[in-house]
Order: sequence, then C-alpha cells, then structure tokens
Amino acid sequence: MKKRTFAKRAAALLLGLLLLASAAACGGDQSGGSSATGAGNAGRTDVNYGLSSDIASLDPVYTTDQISTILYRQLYDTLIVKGTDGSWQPKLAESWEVSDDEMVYTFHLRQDVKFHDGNGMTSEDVAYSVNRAIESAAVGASMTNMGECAALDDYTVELRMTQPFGGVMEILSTYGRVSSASTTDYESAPIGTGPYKFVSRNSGDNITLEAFPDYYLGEAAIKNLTFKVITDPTTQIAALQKGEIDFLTHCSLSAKATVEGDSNLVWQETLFRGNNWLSFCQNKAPFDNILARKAAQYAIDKDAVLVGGSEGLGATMKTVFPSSVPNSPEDTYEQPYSYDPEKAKEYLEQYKAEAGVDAVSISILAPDTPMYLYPAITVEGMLRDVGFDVTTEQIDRSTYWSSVYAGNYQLAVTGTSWPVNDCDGNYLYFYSTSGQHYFMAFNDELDEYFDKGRSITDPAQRTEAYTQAQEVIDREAICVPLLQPANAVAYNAALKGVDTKDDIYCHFVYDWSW
Amino acid sequence: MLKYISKRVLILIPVLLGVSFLVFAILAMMPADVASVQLGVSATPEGIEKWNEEHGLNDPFLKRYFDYMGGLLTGDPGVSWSSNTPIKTEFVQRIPSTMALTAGTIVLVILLGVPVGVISAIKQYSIFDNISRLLAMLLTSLPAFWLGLLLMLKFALELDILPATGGGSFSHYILPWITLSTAMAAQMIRMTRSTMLEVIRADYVQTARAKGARPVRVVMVHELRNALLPIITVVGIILGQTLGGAIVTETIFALPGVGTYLLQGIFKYDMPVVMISVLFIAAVIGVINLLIDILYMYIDPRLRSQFVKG
Repeated sequence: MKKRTFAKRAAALLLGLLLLASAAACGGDQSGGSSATGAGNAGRTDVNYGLSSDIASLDPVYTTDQISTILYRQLYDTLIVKGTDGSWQPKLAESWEVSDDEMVYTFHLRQDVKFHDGNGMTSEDVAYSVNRAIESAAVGASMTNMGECAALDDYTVELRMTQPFGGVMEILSTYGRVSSASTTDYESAPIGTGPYKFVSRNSGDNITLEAFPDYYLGEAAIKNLTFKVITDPTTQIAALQKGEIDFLTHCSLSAKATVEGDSNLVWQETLFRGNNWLSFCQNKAPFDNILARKAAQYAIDKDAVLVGGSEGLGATMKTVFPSSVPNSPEDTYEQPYSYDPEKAKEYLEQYKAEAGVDAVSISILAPDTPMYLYPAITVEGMLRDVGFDVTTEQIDRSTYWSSVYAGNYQLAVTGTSWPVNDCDGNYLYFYSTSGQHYFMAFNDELDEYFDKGRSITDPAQRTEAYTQAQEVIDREAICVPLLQPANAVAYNAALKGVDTKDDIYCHFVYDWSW
Repeated sequence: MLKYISKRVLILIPVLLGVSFLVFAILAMMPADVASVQLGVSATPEGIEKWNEEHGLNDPFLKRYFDYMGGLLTGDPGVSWSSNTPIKTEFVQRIPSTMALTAGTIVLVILLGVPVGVISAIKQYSIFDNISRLLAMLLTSLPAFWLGLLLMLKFALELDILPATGGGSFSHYILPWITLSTAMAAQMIRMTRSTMLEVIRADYVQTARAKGARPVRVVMVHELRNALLPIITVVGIILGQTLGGAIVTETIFALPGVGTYLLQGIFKYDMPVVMISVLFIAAVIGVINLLIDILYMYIDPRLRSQFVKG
C-alpha cells in the first residue's frame, strides 16, 4: 500500500516536470514561425501600420509628438516640401518669392487642391492654418520670428516676419500643415488636403484612414490605411511576423537580430532626429565649479555610452547640433575634450583642493525613458571610475522633466528632438532668458551667438555662429554632447516604395504599394 | 433585505468619494510640471502659463477638486490633458474590451478552479490531488507577462491558429483569458480544496453519509454548498486582481481596454484619464462586492434569517 502511494506521487511529480519542460520548449522556439508574411501580398491595397504608442491628437498644431506627426503626414499637406537634393520643392504652393529684406514671404497656391470635405482650398484656409500654428501653445515657440499670415487674394498668401530668420522654409515644411478653416472638430472630423482622409479612431487601438479620391496628385495606391497601436516591443515583432501589421515604426533596437533573421522582413535604420547630452546644473556644488565639470568631461567615453545607450547603433556627437540639421557645425568641429581618465582624475583632485572637500558625491537624475536612462546608467560607472561618488536617482518622466527645468538636479542626461530641423532649436535650452535654460549657465557670449544664428540667413555665416556657440559651450564645459541614437523601422519585404533615407516619422504612405 | 441592500449601496458613495479625493490629491501632489509635459519640447513659458490657466491649474486645490467632481457628477469627465479629446467618448470605447476580458477570466477561473479543487479535496493525496497541487503552485508562480508572450509565440506565431494582437472577436480574447486566469485559477483551486477539506470533516457531512445519501449528493448539496461562502469571497478578491492584472495583459496583447488607458494616463500625467479609470475600477469592485454580499444571503439561510421579520 505504502509503495503504491509512493509510485503515484512519483508519477505526479514526473507529469509536473514534463509540463514544465514543454513550457520551456515553447520558449526556445521563438523564431520558428513566420508564416503570414511573404506570399499573398501581391495586389493588396491595404496597409496596417504599427505604432508604438497611441497618437496624442489629430489636431495638426496640438502637439510635437512624433507618433502624431506620422499621422499628420498622411492627413495634411504643407506648402512646400524638401526635395531629395535638399532644395525646396512646391507642394500646395506652386511658387513663392521672398522680399529683399527677408521680411515678407509670398506664396502662390495651386488652384486645383481640394479638401477632404470636397471644398476647394483657398488662401483663407492657408492663412488660418499658419496663424493657428503661430498662436499654438505647443508649436508656437517654433514659429520663430513669424508675425502673421494674410490672404492677399484667393490664391496668394503673405507671411510677414517680425525679424528675418534663416529657417522659415524648414518651419513651414513642418508646421505649415494646411487644414480647412471650416473645421469644427479636429479630433473627430479633421479636414486636410492630404492623400488620406480620416475614417474612424478607436482610442488606444486603431485609427483608420482611406485614400482621398480627389487628391490633387491622384489617388494613392494604398486605399485602406489602418494604424494599430501596440505598445509592447515583443508583441510588436510578433504582430509583424504574423502579418497583423505590415510596417512598424519606432522599432525597439534590441529586435534587430530577430527582424534581420526573418527573410520576410526588412530592418531599416536611420539616425534619430534628436540627440542627448550630459547636463551640469551650475546653481550648486560641485558643478558650479568648472574644474568639476571638466573632470566629468574627460571621464566620458562616448563610444561606450553609444553601446550602453543605444545598443551601439547611432552616432557619437562632438556638438549639440546633429549633422542632419542644416548649418550644423558637427561635421567640421574639432572637440577639445577626449576620453582621458587620468586628466579627469587630475581635475577632480584640483577641484577637491580648491573646494576643500575629501570626496565629491553627486547624483544623476534619470527618467524611465530608455533614450535618457540607458546613457545615464553608463555614465554613472565612468564617473565612479575617476573618483566621483555617484548614485543614480530614477524617477518618473513627468517629475524628471519638471525637476530638470526647475534646476533641481546636479547631473542629468537630457537632450532634444528636432521638430523643426534648424539649429535654432537649441536656443530654447542654451539662451539665458529662455524658459528652459536648465544649465543655469547664463553666458552672455553664448546668447550673442545664438542671437546671431537666429537673425542672419546666410547658411555659411549661420554655421559659423553655431560653431562659435559650441566653442563657448566647450570652453565653459556647459554640457557633454553624447550621442544621436538610431531609430529603426521594420516592415514586410513585399512592401514597395518605402523611403529609406529620411527620419522615421517622415514616411509618406502615398508612395507605397504592394 | 431591501433595506440592507440600499444601505450597502449608500455606503458605496462615500467609498467612491474617498477614492476620488485620495487619487486627486496624490496626483495634485506630484511635483511634476504638467503643462510642460503636455506641451512637449518646444513649449514657451507663456504657452505653459496659458495652458495652466485654461486647465484651471492656477486655482486652489479644493476648487479644482470640486470643479472636477461637479463635472463628473453631471456626466462630464472632462477632456484628456494629453490628447485634448473628450474623455467620455474615449473611455466608453474602452469599457467593452475590459469587461469581456474580466468576465471571461472569472468564468474560466470558476470553471477550472472549483471542479479541480473539489475533486482534489475529495480524493485527497490521490495522484490527481498531487498533480493539481503541483500545477497550482507552478501556475501561481508564472508571471503574466512571461506566460502571455509564451502563449503568443506558440499559438499565434508558430501554430498560427489565434490572433496575436487587438480585440474585437472571440478568438482575440482566448490567449488573454488564459494568461490572466492562470494564476487566479491556481488560487481558486487551493482555496476550494482547503475549504472543502474542512467541510468534509464536518459532522453534518458524516450524518448525511450515515443516512445513506448518494456520494454525489453529499458532495454537491452538503459539502460544496457549505464551502461556497469562502469560495465566493475569493471570487470577489480575484476580480480585483483581474482588473489590476488587466493592465499587463492588455498591454501584451494590445487590447484597447481600461487598463492600458490608465497606464497611458499615468505615463502622460493625464489627471482626468487616471481619475476616470481608477474610479471605474473602484466602482466595479464595489458593485461586485455588493453583489457577492447579496449572494451570501441566498446561499446561507443563517444570514438571510437576520433580515426576515418575525
């Protein structure tokens, strides 16, 4: 009897182990299945576009959020567009003139453009849209030096500047999205002139668009465009492999091997139009002292930060202006600092002697977003190696940014994205009296160069101004430029016409076909 | 009886008010600068000031709270801070998905947990009992995010028989149901088994057996019925856990439910979104617990007799 009970128990145990083993076996077999992609795509006229988070808004000037920008591209057209050679090409505007004093930009509009509600586009709509952007709380600050836009006749508009600015065309190609002046509700019934019109939105799940038959350049090849929101990175790849989505934006960089290992998928990497830097807050010790800042400058191995911060994908940076931004000094600039732990230790010793302290303890503030958190963790070790006493304090992203903007930090990895592709974007952070000058550096010379970059329009002179600005940033050791991370998209290999060069939120589904 | 029920309903009101005040206060105490979070990288100080004014953030705390609650009680939960859309439309769209997920999970938990627990108890120390106890232990220790991904890789990708993401049809919910119910079912098995074991040894069960009742009748009428009270209590607790677990499960399977809505609200520091989601979850748990209390009385005549006159 006793023996039988034992046998039963042993059998039960075995069965349990078997189950465990089979569960483990499932786990090891991840890359096996990829069946739905590949064949059977020919002749399709729909695309399922995977988004890594929900859009914020359908209102073209409500947000600078990248995911929303992807949608704006399909719904709204701009006056002008940048050609592959970098020159400005007509879009809704057929031609334009700039006054000699560069204070007035006159645009002549196409007369055959229709809105999604069937009405023709006139100068009233364009002036309304541009003025709306100028007044917007989210993007208004990026409409540098723009006064107002006025309709001259039915198909001519005039943009009046308060001061000349070199990046006007860049701004208009981004925020000059034209929506109908008779729009009543941007969230449920947006009216643009873009190749796709809005059908429905199911919050957190999907947004459906359909090809606009009266698009002035002809109807798009892809008729039904559905955006699907999938936030979990592993799930995103599973959905892509299964064919539930055909295109995935903001793909997790760690998925590279999986996607590249699947012959039905394409992995495409571009540099993120954004960069980060290590910021010192100069309103408190130790970084109120340039010796401590210099010690940190020499302690940072940027190549290692790239590996830790962006899986080694992307590029290290010498300046705070990415080379993809026009007039950036990045490519020609010679950085005065290099990775030199010995020098870092020397500066730290000098600082200790001058400040009369035995140890320098600092805290790195970091948010929960990978773009800033991972480099921060990497930097922590480097600073410790040269003798700083370092801790990393990780907090939620809202509190993080509020603390940074309020100057409530010692050291933080911060940075910016470039909603408008112009070096003036950094004015916001480096100019003394701007609202977000969180370095607390207040340097008159730096202000002067940023003012210069803003007021002149000659490209070579602008590069010169921003080079000088970077020289001040380095001389005063205001921040350490770190890296420009990579961004990636992954998509079905049968999908044709995908832009391979531009930023990942610049894709026009209009160019795509199966 | 009716008096008891209406009293319980009335108690729900201060509970929900308390929850709303607590959550509102916690959100208000967060040191984050909401406007700069919502407006993004290129916001100006003037823009931030304008945003704060428009959203009433310059008002004193109590005024903000009463304004918000006033809106909510008149059926207007406000506008989402992060997306500028009316919350009512967005939120209503999200309820069916979470309801389907939760209801299906509870059904699965009961269908799986109760019979297995009962049989385990009756056949204590049998091979079935041993396996089920081992399974229960194993399943409780599986994290939902891990199990969910594993199931997805196996059934959606490799075998290609179920969809991986999204909601809408019955098949979309199968994997989320399994993922969410696994740990809860294990809990149910253990609870059912232990209460049944207590009941089995009770005198009235012995009496029933001695009087010659058929074994099935003894189990169903004399044992299970008396073990039901604790089991139903566990259902109430599990429901709370299910609504919490829904956040993870909905994220993995990209289900547009209340859980992901809450998570998105937290990330974007979207007060109206967080408030409505938390209040919804609190209200559902409150109502379900009320229903369970009422159910007690149908199951247990002793409780019912307290409310019968004479």
